[in-house]
Amino acid sequence: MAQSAVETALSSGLRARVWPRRNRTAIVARLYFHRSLELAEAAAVALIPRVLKRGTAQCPGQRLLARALAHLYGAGFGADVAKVGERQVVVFGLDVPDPARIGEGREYLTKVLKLWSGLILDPALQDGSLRQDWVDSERDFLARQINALRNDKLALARQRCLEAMFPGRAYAVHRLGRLQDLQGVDAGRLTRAYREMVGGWPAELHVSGPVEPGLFLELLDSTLRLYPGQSPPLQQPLSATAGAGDGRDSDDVQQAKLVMGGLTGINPGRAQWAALLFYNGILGGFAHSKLFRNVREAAGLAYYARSVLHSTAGVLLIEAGIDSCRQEQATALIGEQLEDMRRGRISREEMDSTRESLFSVRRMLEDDAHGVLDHGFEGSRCGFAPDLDRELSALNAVTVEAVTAVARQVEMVTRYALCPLGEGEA
Amino acid sequence: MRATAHPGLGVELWRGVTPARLPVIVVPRRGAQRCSAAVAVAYGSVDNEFVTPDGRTVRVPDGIAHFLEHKLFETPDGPVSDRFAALGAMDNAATWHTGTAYYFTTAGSFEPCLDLLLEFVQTPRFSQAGVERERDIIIQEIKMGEDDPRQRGYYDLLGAMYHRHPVRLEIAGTAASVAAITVDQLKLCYETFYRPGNMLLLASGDIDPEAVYQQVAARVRPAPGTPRRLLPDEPAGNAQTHHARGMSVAQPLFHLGFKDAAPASGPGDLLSRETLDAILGEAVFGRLSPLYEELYESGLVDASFGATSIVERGFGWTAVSGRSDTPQGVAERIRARLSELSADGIDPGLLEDVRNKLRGEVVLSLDDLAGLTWEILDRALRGIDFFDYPTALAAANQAQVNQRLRTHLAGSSPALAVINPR
Repeated sequence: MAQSAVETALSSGLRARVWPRRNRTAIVARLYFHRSLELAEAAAVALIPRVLKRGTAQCPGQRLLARALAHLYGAGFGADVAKVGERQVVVFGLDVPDPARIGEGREYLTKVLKLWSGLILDPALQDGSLRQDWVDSERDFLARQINALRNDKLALARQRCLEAMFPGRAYAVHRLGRLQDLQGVDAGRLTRAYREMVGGWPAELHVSGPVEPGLFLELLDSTLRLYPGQSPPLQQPLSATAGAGDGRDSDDVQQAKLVMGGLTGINPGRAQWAALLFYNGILGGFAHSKLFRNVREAAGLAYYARSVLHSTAGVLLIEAGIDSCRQEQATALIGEQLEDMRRGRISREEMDSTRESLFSVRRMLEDDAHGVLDHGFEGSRCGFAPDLDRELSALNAVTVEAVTAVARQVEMVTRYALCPLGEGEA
Repeated sequence: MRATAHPGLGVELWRGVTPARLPVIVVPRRGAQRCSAAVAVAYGSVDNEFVTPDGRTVRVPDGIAHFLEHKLFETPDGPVSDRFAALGAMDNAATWHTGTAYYFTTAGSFEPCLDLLLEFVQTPRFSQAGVERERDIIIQEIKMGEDDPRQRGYYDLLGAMYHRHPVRLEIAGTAASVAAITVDQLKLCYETFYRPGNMLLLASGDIDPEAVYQQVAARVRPAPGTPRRLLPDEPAGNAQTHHARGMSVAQPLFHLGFKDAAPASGPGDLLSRETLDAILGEAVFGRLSPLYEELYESGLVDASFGATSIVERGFGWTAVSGRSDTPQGVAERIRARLSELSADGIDPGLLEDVRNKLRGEVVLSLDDLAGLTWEILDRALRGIDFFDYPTALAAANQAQVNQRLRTHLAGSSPALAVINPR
């Protein structure tokens, strides 16, 4: 049986959670800084990790940093931005080969942690600020990346659906922010934002792998000196937004991308969470689900027809890629599946298969180090402490009545379609 | 079954061959929650012309291996996915240029899932109505791919590099070729290629290798014979040096391809090229390379820039891809850099850094049992032992790396495929 997570705080006050896993070949750590997701600020926040990845005071350049990591047997650093509920999160990642498997020990680990700490706390500076030339070029690259979001048509449709669901509200913002908000972000402003991040944003550290928690945290305590701010209130499931409605655009696509958005009123912090997992699994989360069976397999309308949860926010998205001329038929068929859920037309086989599948998914998460850490962080944002046995018991207790009650609570608010040219409204 | 272990990596591989000639590989992982098994067939999208078991030469429509993959999920008791779900397992399949694989993953009971996998792969049923329904689904899958600029760019590059070799064709075929596929052709392809000697089974998780072997051996039905593929002769140079198309993209997206002029043949040659290409991919184009630094610092490319290599029997290439406002300028800079490296050779210090990085990546990859299983399977289908890669990585020397650089990258003209904003 896997050892339980050890929860503690470093002497600086940084909360840490460690999952010791002796049979693993890698130590994986994630440091999550987060702040309120704000429309006008999101792009500047997204710029911070990009500039930090350009180099540290010790290794002032991408290639120098890459060489230093190569000398440490390919230890991997990551720095990226994510959206968890209504928080924008800057995540620093660390992947280290188990020192025992490469003939190394504590000294190696100390070197890796010092370099990682340098990436976060000791960036390359110029006159006390982040380097202007790096800020300028990364701002340009980020602008290109934001523009390039339209290259992925499904992701574009998903984003446009959220914008129609939450007009003017933070959750509608993409994790990379908006193009127009990048103008005017210079080294001075970004340095202030960076200092606020390391000096005052709430932060959490999650670690998994072949580590002895006390020893590992002691090493971290001596290398990662940062003083996070107070944790904000827990994330509540999102409620309806005034002005929410349907959306439709046209683009140069061969296939219409349909995305329907709904509010569940449930996130992992709520008692109905396990029932919501059943709801999503039966509706469109698995290959035995109603959407897969009826929209794809029986009617042959789509290659993909599924539902996905934005768990922390309590948002449900239904997605299908369909022939444009069969859009109405597909929408009607999806509507029938939703109605069947509301009426409790759920077979015993659907319940049993979904229970077995959810058991497997949750158990298999234990083998996924990155997944465990993200599950831990998202849980902490909702007041939900991950625990395999407790989560399996909760799944075991879910009844058809509980799933039907969830179905009646789900409120579909937006239907969005990205259509071939000439079929949508710009 | 026989076990082998790589010193230092702490991973064991068990291998055996059943009396029906099906190779079995098991990767035991004590304490893992996830267990999985895959049946792989050495039959992919390139196998569209072959000799049937009764000696006839046949040409079938493009995309038929992928169509067959979809159709195997149909059983008289309904979709096989429903039966896997009842066991708490997720099933799926994939088709690529040279192979097809069917697999399940579960944290539940392994044995009944393995039985089900072996049963459905060995018991095809093709109803006309089922084939028609699947045709519609596959056409939607093709259309989804047509909306993906990265996928389009990849196929455009293959079309530019290859004159006749069927690797230039799309794995799923086209709407027209899929429309032409018949039930009889699907049956014929199944009977030709789905033979234990042309397949393998790979299982991983907290499972007993001997028990897995016995279970498989008891359920695999013999079907002797080896399929004979017919592949056209492929000229050494590119079919086109430049291909461009417009799509709804924000910025040009490029794929620059270096075609292997004399493709590999045996497993030793495949392993050697794969290892050298992994080193060159990092040393010439990766984050450790002066070229990447120069292109990035000058704003010519962003972090989407990267290189991948394919090494298969009969074909192979290195593709460099990314977003850039000036793909032609990037291609010219790459060629100039390759010319310099061809003369000077790779810096020995850089080579050691790359070796260290790739060695660490092997250790890191062992943690991801799902990814590891695929790597072992992919190599096994090509006759390569997974454990030989870290050994080859340690053994690759300066002269071999520079020789491969000169023959594969610097010695040929690449093909450039660009997706421009429309």
